[in-house]
Amino acid sequence: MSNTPQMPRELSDRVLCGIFIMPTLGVLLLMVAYPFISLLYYSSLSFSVLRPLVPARDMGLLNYELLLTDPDLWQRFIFTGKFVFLTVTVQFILGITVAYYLQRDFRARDFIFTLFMLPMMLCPIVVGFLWRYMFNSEWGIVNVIIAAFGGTKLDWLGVADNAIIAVVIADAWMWTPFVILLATAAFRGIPKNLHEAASIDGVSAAYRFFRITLPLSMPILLIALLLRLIDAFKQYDLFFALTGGGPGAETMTVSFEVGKIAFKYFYTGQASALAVILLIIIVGLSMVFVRYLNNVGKEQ
Amino acid sequence: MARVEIRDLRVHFGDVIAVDGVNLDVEDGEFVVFLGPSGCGKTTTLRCVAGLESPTSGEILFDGKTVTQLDSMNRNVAMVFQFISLYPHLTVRQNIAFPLKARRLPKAVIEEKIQWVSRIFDLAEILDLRPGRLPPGARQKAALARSVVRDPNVLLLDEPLSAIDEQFREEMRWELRHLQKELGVTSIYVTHDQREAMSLADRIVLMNEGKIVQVGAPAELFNDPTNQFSGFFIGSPAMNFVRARRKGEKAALAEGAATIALPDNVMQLMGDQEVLLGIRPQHVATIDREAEFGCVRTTPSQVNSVGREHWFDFQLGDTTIKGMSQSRVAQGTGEIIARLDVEHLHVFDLKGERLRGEDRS
Repeated sequence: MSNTPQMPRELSDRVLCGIFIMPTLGVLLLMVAYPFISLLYYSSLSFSVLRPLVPARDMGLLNYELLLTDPDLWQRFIFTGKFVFLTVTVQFILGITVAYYLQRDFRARDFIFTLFMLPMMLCPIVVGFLWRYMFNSEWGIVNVIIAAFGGTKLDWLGVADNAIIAVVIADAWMWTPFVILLATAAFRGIPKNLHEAASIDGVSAAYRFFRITLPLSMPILLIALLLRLIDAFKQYDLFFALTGGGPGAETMTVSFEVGKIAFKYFYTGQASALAVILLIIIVGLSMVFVRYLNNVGKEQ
Repeated sequence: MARVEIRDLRVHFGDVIAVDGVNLDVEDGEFVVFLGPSGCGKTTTLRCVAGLESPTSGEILFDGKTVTQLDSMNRNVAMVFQFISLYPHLTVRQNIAFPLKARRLPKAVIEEKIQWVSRIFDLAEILDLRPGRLPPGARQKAALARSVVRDPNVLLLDEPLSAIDEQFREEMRWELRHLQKELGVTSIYVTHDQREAMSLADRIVLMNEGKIVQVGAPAELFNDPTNQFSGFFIGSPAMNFVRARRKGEKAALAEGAATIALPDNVMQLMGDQEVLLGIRPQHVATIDREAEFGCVRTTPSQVNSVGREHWFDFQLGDTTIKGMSQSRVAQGTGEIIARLDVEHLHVFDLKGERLRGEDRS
């Protein structure tokens, strides 16, 4: 009997929690769960949104089978992987280097930092068209500069090997700031004490960077890496604006392919299946990182 | 191990003068404690010795050689900080090895040194743990081990015990003192806790407002403060101060709130000027019958017994005097006779400088 007065209160707390969470949960269900489940459903159909009246045919896993046995699609994956690897590597080397030098206190540091952040603020499609003009083989600024230094003008966007470099440059230009931002945050998060302890311990700047700064920044840098990997993997706008997937289909990424199947051919079912494959890859990638981050968290 | 000399050290941060002309010699193997309230410049001075702060002017010398221009990397000093300074991603063993590895010592030597410090500091059980798992006391022990493992010229300690539980702190203090003597490493220790300073130091350097107030052995500072600040800062509870002025054969205390008979030597020191009399609560007692000197009839305003110590307060005008009696002092039951032990009476001028007889140097 002595417990009874408490029972309703505890219950009402839980009910209250439920009530508070409900709206968010509802939005989440509507915005994430419903589309996801319908995506899974569509991926098993032969169906096009252009012809909603044509009865959809249940294909089972045939959409997946068709996709995964298509050698062209594997080419897309290989190209996408190449692009992701190149652009993320460039972004991290540049981003961490810049963040390292921005650690030091000097005049105009905040101004320079803000300047570095600007590209990230732009709309990706705008960045794409900007670079498209700059990479123009006749009058683009890039070739003008190359010519001014006595080099030969390159056909940046018309040759596959050049085009991937062009897109990597544009993507890195836009997203290196993100790495700078997070690396700076990570570096600043390291207690000053530790730097002082390290300098009293008599270690060189390089040793300190690789043995103290970098390992301690790892959790944040890994999150940055994960976000950049996912984003690069999904990159669409830059390819759309810069190369349109060409020459031929040589700079066609997987997400570009999804867009093409979905909104050019309107094979909604097949596009859904490819989207699911992309999702599995990204979720798999994230899980590796999350597991690693959890371990780091436990150790420290 | 080295002898440390600080010559005319000044540090300005913009308009703020943090250290204002400090001169000090620390002997080889000596344990010196910088003591003072926060903002007195003690930590800044320490950081100058470490090379973490560059002085505005002045010099630091190790064994007679100036190191002012060297950065901390090249001074071979060791430092233990107030808050965690162990590398959180490394185990205690790796932490201790860190400065040795940075010096590219051979593996066998490193291992030997780790064994040596882990024996001294009793670290065997925690060597393979990361600092995050350790209690603050063990962490500071490990930090201490890391700092002494490479035979530094000077060991610098910046309030290393302040994050540790009171209970464990006592033990650490004792251990630290013992180890410092055993290792014979020249040590400079910064604290604002006068009890810590008293129990650790060979010599205390008392600082206030960027300047050294008094330097001496703990007993010297306690028994013989050179000015009001050291009298006030050292000892707990703090020294009582009361204004006094000659009035006929006696002295009037606190604008005439009481008169008191004082021996000739004190009266001479007072002369005709108004002075501050300083006396520790331990030297203010209650007695049954009036004695020749130092007695005041008063009523205690507050009584507080702690074990066998009976603390009491009484008012002289606006001034509260704290005393300690061996026998219970009844509260609110009228008059007592408080006796200031004139042997332990210190006379300061109104600027706070100690007045001394001419026979004393």
